[in-house]
Amino acid sequence: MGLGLLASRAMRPLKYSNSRVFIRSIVSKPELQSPEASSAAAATALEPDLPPRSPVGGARVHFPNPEDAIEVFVDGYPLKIPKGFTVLQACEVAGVDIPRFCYHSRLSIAGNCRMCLVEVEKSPKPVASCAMPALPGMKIKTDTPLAKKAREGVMEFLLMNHPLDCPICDQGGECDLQDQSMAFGSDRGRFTEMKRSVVDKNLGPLVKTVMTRSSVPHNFWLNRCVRFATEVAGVQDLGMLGRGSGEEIGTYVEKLMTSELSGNVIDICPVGALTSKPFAFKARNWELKGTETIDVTDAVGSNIRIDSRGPEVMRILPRLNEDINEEWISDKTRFCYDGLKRQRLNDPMIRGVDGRFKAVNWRDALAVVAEVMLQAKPEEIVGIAGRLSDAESMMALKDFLNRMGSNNVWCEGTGAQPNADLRSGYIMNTSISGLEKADCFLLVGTQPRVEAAMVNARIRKTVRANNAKVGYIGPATDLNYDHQHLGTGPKTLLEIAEGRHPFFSAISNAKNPVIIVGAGLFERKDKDAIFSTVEAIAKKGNVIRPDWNGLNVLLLNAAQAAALDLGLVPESSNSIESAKFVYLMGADDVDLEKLPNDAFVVYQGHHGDHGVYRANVILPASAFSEKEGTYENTEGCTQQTLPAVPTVGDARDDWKIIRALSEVAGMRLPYDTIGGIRSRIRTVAPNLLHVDEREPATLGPSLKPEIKSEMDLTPFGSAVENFYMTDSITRASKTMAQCSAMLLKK
Amino acid sequence: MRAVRSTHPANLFLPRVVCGRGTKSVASLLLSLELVENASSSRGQASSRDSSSNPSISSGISIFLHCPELCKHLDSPDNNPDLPWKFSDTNKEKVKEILSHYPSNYKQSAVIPLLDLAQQQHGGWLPVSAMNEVAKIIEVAPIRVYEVATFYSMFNRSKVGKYHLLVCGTTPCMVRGSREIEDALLKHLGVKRNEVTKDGLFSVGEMECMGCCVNAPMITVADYSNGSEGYTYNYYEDVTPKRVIEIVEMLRRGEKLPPGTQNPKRIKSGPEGGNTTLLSEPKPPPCRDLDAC
Amino acid sequence: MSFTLRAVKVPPNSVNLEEARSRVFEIFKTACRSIPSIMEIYNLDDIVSKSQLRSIIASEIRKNANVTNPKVIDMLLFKGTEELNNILEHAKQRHHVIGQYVLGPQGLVQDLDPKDQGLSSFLKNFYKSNYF
Repeated sequence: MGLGLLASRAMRPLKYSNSRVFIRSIVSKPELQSPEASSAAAATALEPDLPPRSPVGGARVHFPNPEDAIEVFVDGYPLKIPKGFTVLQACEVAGVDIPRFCYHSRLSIAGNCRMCLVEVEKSPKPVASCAMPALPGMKIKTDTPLAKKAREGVMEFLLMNHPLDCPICDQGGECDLQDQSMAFGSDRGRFTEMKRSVVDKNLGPLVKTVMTRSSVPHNFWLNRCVRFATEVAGVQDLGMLGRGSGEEIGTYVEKLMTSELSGNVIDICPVGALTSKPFAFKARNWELKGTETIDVTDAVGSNIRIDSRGPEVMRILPRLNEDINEEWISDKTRFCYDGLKRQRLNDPMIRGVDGRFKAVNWRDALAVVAEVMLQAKPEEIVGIAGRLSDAESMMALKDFLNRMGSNNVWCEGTGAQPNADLRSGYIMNTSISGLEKADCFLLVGTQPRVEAAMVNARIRKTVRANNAKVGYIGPATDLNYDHQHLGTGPKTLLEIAEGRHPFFSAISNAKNPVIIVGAGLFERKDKDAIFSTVEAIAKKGNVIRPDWNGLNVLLLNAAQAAALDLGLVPESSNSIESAKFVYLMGADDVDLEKLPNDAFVVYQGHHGDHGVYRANVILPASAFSEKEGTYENTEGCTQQTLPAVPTVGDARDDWKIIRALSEVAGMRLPYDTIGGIRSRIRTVAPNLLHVDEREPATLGPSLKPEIKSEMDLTPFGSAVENFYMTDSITRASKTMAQCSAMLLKK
Repeated sequence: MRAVRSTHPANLFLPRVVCGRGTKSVASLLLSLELVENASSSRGQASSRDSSSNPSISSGISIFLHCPELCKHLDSPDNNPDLPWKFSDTNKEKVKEILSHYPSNYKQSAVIPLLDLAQQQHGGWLPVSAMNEVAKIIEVAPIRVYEVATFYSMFNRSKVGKYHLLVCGTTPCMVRGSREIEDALLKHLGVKRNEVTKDGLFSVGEMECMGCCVNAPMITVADYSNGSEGYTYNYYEDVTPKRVIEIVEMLRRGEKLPPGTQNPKRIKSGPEGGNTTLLSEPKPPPCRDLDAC
Repeated sequence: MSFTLRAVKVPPNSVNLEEARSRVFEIFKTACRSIPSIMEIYNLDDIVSKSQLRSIIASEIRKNANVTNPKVIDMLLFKGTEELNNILEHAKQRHHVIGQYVLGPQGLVQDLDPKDQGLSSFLKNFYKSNYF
């Protein structure tokens, strides 16, 4: 960021070229008649010899109330900003990147690093721009000698006790402190004393601490991580201990960070005090190739960047997406990548008579599968897509099995008879960012903290910002915000639906109530009754209005939404019991207990996980980091993964395997390229082609036929037992195993 | 902190030094001296002083246990989160009284008085379970209480003696010989700084300026021998190495001795041997000549 | 490079097809005469016999049997001489010789299957690699 500023300075021409034309229209606004405004206008006219600037990082100004706009001047540029902006935000809009350490746009303002000092006319001292509200007519100067000298002085103080260990520091190369000391610091220091050193803390298997690097006296400036933990992650573990030169960040008592978002402190730490433990000393950031893709470990579809070196995924970082994950990702997303290197299937294999797998080539494997498949009766063929499957391969699987005469295709986790007809019945209608407008939440059978950590962070943000009420129905759980545990099962739900429960009045009095139903309930036999009860609550509580749809389903898996959009619905609910040929496309969590012993199971997937135990043939496929695939997240937003690394061994992309198998089996699918499949998808679910767009459901649940079935009164179960291990990638990850062992140990 | 003050506010001394044109230089000199002193004492906790008297550092942990600036809790048999800790019944009344000073939605404001009360009840120091109890009462996360307790050096997080002797080590006292006083105390008691004597009666610590510079050097005796009811915090000023040992012995015998200056020739913070200036009736401030109007 | 060039004597251009043809026979004979030393240098005794190597050389030459332009033949002769020199000067390693001449270009493809004839190009590519 600091270098960007330098670059912008360097690019600025020294002399004004007369090419820029000023077009001034004659305005007859009465406010320009007042002396102040006209002087401001005069100032505008006096400063024509400045090149245009564009806002930092494409910052946009949103005026909630046009009357509240005020005018300030940044380096002579007149600028309209809304009231309540800080000086730093005004400078960003004006295209000036102010150096900063403690300030972070998503955290509360601390104002203690003093790096953001700027000069304001008529102010005797430089002001800390991050904490200073912009006032009308303020004349801000960001590159005067005073501001420069102030920054240099602050930088010298900041570096006073900072160790000179950049060569062995993992932050090296992507360090704010490095960049800013290059850009704004002095080339020499005057500090000749001993530097301070601090004992490192153990914060668990994910975050490595080098506390000495955070030691800057008189400025407990780094407390970004403390603010993050308290404000965003909702765990009050970290604190500022001691004072003066003895001050440090820590937990005081020996304690691990028990947050599902703890990895984000690595990103927000502007120095190398908190770094990633699994990534420690593995690579330098300039050696890495970044691939912008999305995460598939939960149904949120967090935007990530996979940093790879050669064939190896080195780390995963979040990408900014205001609508989905802001700039955070969960620990599972961030640290699951070592699972991509373990337990991988790299050759097609056939189980011999002795029960052992033997590696064969693709030709033989596909020939065996096709032969067995052609012998099975069409109704005995079953295909199950896994929780990490992309839309293209699910489309190919469905098309292929339909050509074989079977319609028993579904995606795991959607239950026996999923409702795929009304899209509003399985996506998050409010949208993730829309949750911020809510003021009352009812969580039915869902624990967002483990099912979708980023949605949980959004709910927590809302609870903090506008004191939204949260009611929760389900097994006892630890949500990191204030909530009422209303009950454990359908009984409470019925009470609310009948208006007997006090929380019903909270819903009906709320302006924007939100009901979130967990996808774990899909597996229950009485799910239709539960959903109609929830819809009854929604109807009575005015949850669905033309301008507000507060009835949501929180899905569990990355594949679910796309699978239901594509219509992957089993024809009969007990197809597994009578199956003779089962095609598992990455499905690991299907209950195969009832499968007949003579059934032939093909497992196509990337990890030797649960699905492999029963498989007769293994077809190795590529993981999400190795293929291009379309995924739809729980709010109905379509996104695509991009290949970051090559496939492992002799693996192939999922859809290619099915396409090849179809040809070997004599039922050739009519597409040879991914574009071909996508045109096929266009005829089934066109929304899956609108990448990075959220397609809201058009029809509400009112069209649904009335369902008269009794609810089973057994309490709701928890859908995710272990946050860190939910799919084949995370189950293969060593880091995730350590997390489950250490952090879930009570 | 409840402080029994027996002298005039000795800060009177400071403005006289720092007034006039030399303000900046004198103040910055004082500040920088203080910084150097602080820095050397905190950084060199284990290395410079303690290890010079005891060159072989016997065990790192035991040094850490007596290090008041260690921002980390180390479990020990008498200080771990599993030990139960409650306010006594009489103190529970006091807790209620303290909480009544604050609005019910700002209970956390009571953290310092409650920690002080807990410290008095627990013989002068705060075990981690006491801090947890305070956190529970004021309904905040324990770390927020730890932050406060580690910030203020008046909260002792390791065991202290029944009489906790605090030697002022700030510049004026240092110039007037506070190091000799501390050495004399340590030698007499046979302990290191922040260590408790075997009988559990005494411990010696260092503190920053208490504003008695006009009577430097001074020590403070925090008396925890009678719980929070009989808790006193007295200043003994104008002490000499000989006098502090006498004070220690008197405390050991349980004798009461008057706090304040220990120099018999001084009255409170007045000059030795009586006043030398301002002896006459002070002149009234000059008024304008009313007759001339 | 210069070392190799020095060793290769560039013959004068062939006037007509007859002259070129006799030069081809010459180079074939030279190559056949160097077979024993090649077998020794690259230790090929247990892999291939002299007569096999001779027929490999002949087939390499017959690959270009359709060429009639003397200038092109001259160029091919030059390349052949250069290759022979490289082999004799040990500029190659054993696996180069085995891979290029003994096994031939098809020798390393394991899945060469006569059944492949009726397959679509998708499936042919699929069997080769994931990236196409």
